Amino acid sequence: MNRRKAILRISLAGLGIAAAGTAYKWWDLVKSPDLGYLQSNKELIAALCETIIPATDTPGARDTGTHDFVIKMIRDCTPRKEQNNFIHGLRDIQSYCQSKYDQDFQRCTHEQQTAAMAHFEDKSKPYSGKLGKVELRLMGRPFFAILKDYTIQGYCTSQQGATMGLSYVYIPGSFKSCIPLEPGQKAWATI
Amino acid sequence: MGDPIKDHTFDAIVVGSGISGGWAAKELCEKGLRTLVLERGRNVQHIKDYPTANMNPWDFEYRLNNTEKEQEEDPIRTAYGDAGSTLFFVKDSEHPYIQEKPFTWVRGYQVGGRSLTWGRQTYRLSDLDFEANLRDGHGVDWPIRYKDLAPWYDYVESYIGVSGQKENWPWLPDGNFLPPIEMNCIEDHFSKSIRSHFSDRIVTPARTANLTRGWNGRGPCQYRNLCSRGCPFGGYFSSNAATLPAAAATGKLTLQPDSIVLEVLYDEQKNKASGVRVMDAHTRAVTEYYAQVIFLNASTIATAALLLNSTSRRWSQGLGNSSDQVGRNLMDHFTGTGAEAEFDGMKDQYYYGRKPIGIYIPRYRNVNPATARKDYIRGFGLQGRGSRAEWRVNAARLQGFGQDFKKQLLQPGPWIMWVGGWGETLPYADNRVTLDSSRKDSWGLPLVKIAFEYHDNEKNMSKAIQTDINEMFSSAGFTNIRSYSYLQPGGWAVHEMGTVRMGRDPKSSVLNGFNQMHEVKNIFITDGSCMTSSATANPSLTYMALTARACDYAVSEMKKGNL
Repeated sequence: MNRRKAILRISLAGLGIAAAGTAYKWWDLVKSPDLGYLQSNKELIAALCETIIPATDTPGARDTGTHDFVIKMIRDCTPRKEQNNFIHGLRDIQSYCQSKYDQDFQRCTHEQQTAAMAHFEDKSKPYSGKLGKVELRLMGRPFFAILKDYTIQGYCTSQQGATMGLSYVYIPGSFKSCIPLEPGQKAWATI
Repeated sequence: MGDPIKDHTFDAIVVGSGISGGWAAKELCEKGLRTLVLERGRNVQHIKDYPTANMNPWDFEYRLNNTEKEQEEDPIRTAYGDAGSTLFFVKDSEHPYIQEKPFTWVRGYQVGGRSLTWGRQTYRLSDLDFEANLRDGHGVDWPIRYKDLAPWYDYVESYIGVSGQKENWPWLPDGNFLPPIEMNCIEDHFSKSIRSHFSDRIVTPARTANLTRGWNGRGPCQYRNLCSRGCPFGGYFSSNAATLPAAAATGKLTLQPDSIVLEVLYDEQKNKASGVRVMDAHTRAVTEYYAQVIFLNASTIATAALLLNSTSRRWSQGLGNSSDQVGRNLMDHFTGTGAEAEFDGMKDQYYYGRKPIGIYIPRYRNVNPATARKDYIRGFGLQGRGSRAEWRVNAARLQGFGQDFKKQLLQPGPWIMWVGGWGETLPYADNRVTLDSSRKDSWGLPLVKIAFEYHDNEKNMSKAIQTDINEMFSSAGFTNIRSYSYLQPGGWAVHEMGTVRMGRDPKSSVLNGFNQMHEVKNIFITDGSCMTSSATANPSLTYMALTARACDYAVSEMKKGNL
């Protein structure tokens, strides 16, 4: 789906210039989302999360079970339009990989996954300025933005992510206002 | 049970157990009065009833997020509380009110009230504030001046424990401070730059009721920055951690949760309040309690509503309301203006521990002829906070994904700082709380109706705050300054004040200089409703000082037989 065309159409619809295509797009956004699709595509979601935060010398998204958090968030903590954006996005990235690489995202090579994700990141860039704000309000955040946000949250607030990817101190006990940053020091997990 | 009237008779009744009600309980009990504290919400015992206080982020099902369903049903609760603290905010759906004009009424119905979730910043007012109404003619004159309250500020501070730095700043009186929570590198840089570029301004560590060392058997602060879940270390002041246990220790306290006060009872012959009528929140059983003196500390809007609902032949407009001032002059601070900026430098510096506060810039506009403005009267204080960009901020700043992205995400990013205004709101008669008797809540009480609007003075000041903050960030060498300015609905700062104001003249105010009702002498009101003007500082310290002072006065009047 082309966000830019869709937003223009929806904006025009707002001005009273209705079109059948617009009505369909709108329905696509506000309809009851197919949440079952999430659980049956857990592997895909895990691969997407891992592409955002891969395992390196510290755990990656998959190790921390971030895909389970993403599914929970989409199911229970996401407005309907964004639920639909996310589920459409899963379908779109899958069909993109099928047509381009002839296989599912999760079976693609690392390079293919990176290229596919970059394509979707590019597609998700909002208009600048006011139009971007209108876009966001009307359509909700696009697939990539939601995926990235929830993956980061899921990772950084998981036990492994917070304690191994970041630095977590359960009870600091004291406050030191200015101390030298050690080489390679990780950021604090909580503010 | 013996004599039901005798069993229900106390020396004093306190309605509400929040930050001011807790103080009334402590002071009255310590002066030997058998005191009944009525709290409409459930009991919350210190430590025992802080179930989320020791949870890690990953211990919450949705981490700290509220679900869509929770947000839809309870928009205010979920805007102010995360999964760790919503338990201390009421469900909007259970406690409806009418917003005739938008007003966000944030409530914490439980023992301790909002003293569990307050911002903990503690500042004294000065005569700049106490003389403000007299000087420019808005509202009525405060019946007190700084010298009347100064010893009570001392008294309260020495009990609650306030960390802060002395500044000898004429419009922000110093107090009895524990060591301050130090500014971090960026805050320190900002402070030094502002002091050198602007001779009329200071930047000081926020003064806060977080304990930098053990104090009165509580604390010290462990720098977890999880205050609003309740602190198992007693690291900050709350009714639950301090005043209520102190009151209970006297043996004079009866604390009764789940008790909704329906109305204050009035004895026409004696021209006094005789007691209160109370409904059990669960069984709906109605009981009356009697006392010689009654303190109302239900919170600004609820106290006004209680008076308006206490009608009788003598008080058709509400108890003690011949002036028609009860419910009027509702104020808040407006906090919708601020900016965030980056600083390129000091990349080799960091900090340890999570501090619960940042910095404070006390009012510097319209404080003397040299700082007078043409576009607005009164002024504002600024609050701020600096840190390295950590994952939440990095997530928004950084494009891309994958290995390099991960590396940058998990490292401390540039220093960033946020500063925002807390603006004084003038008392306007039409910013008002009334009751709608055609609509009732679950307990049969008329719904509270709130109409609140900012006027030109607030709007102009709001713009000026934005200009000032931008200018300060630029002068301190910050870049990428992103400022914003919008007028939120009232109530957003959770500093609602006014509605039962103090004043010199019974014709234009409800309370006298000792927070005593002009027209019903055995009622004292010392929550935010008593405020004659809003000033710029966070108000809770002033409520506490006024409460301690009013208790002292009330007990001496009782002893003289005047109540």
